[in-house]
Amino acid sequence: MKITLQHVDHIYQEGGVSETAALRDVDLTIDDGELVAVIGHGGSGKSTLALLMAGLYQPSSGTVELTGSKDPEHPFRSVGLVFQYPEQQLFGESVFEEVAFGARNQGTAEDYLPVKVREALEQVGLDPDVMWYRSPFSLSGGQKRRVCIAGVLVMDPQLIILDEPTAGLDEGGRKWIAQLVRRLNEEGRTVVWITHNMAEAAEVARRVIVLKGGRVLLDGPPQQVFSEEETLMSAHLTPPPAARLVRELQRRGWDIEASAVTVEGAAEEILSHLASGKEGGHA
Amino acid sequence: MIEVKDLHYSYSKQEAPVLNGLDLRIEPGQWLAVVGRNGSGKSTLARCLNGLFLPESGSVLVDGMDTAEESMLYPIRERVAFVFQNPDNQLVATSVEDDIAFGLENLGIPREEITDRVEQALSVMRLADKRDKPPHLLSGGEKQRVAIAGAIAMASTYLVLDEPTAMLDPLMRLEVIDSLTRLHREQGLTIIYVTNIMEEVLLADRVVLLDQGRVAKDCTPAELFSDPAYLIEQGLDVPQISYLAGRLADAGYESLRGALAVDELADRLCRI
Repeated sequence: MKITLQHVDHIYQEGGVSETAALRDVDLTIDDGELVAVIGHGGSGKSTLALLMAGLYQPSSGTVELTGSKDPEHPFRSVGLVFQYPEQQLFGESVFEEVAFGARNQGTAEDYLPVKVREALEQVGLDPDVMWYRSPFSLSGGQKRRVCIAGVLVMDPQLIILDEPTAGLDEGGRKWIAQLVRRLNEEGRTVVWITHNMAEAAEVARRVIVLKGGRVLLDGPPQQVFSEEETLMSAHLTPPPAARLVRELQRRGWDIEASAVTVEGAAEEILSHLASGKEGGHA
Repeated sequence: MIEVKDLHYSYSKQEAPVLNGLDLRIEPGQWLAVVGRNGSGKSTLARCLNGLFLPESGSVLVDGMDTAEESMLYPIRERVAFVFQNPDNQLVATSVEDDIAFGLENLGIPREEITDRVEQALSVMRLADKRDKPPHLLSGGEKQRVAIAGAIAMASTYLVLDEPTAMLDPLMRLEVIDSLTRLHREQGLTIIYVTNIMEEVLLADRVVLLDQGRVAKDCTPAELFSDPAYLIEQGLDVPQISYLAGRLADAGYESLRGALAVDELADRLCRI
């Protein structure tokens, strides 16, 4: 499913004393099957963008259009949004009730709900038989996060938006989210991942959109976006350490590719530079 | 000094204990980082340090005072302050100033002294211009600085922080870190800093790694990061530069192992 934003402005408290423009003149197309990371400093408009893409907000002006939805009459029903800190919104008496909620709202038959819930729990790596009757409130932070994601996956969204899904998780949890995001994308879903972790975005996404003050500052493959150190710094963002090292070495006269923005990419560039230097005898 | 001796703690009888015979001494003036995977007991240990949680067995002594003695709880909390992860869960009043004063009023401290301590906390945390603002209209970083101001107004020796930047974005994180660095340097405050963010561990003089409710490693940050394989085994994030340095060292450039910062690794690379 493809999403197109044209000339989108979004203004909070329009006309009021605390009027704030969260997004200004945003033009953006995300094609079917893309895996996009959206990064930006707090207040740059990331979460507003997520809410607009999910159809929960109407833009103050401009249009947000979805094409290719399996439910053309209600295209936004094919969008799933995992809110920031979704575990703050848990309410179900049991994990089953919690996860079933969205599917029930969509009109899934009561008999069929257990099948859908079971599938969704398996997708997020939770054992349905262990979890089924447990209160979501009794789970660990990481398990709660998974239950919330299952509650979105149960609706089988074609476009899934995750708003800082790794915030507050430990390394294991963050790795798991990164794998999940890749898998959802490989299954053919369009994925929009909002994060402020540059290293994560560099490792996982194929396209990175940087927001600053409600506008799109940079948009391109991670290799390109993360080599724009000065522009990123202007948005109070720092490229991942591996990318900064590569830039620093360039500044010191090394002839290496600035597009190496991941650990592996940087290691390969540095090793091949060291090897060639040795052969040439001028290292 | 805070002395933790053979500390045991479990949340329920059915589940395995979270703290399982933990020993630790924290000297005044230190910046101690506490790391370990989710469930290793970090947050539980932090809550035992000022008597929010009481030991099931073993003991926690704060400058000789036992947290298990009820009469000692207030004196202990005048020395050990606590800052939680989510600032929204700990701000209570309608203005920044009142919020900082809240805990002091509860302790029944005389009006004048409250005013003095609030002024000092506002100034140390550079919040004087925000004194009349309602906390809920502040940014996340400002809220967390208000929480820290409230904590240090209460207690002047030890500050325990449980992942205080986990919910903040990078710029706000720097704001909070800068304030803490200043507090530590200028006021000599002892900082006990629970974190999952390995870059923040570099701020500490000493780091303890918890595993299954015990201290598995007690060393300097540089020592901890010199062994990426061990960190991964412990479910911890390896700072990208340490990881990259290790990866290059494994490929034959041994002099790079253990580099922690971008400049340091660049320096060492240029010396090859």
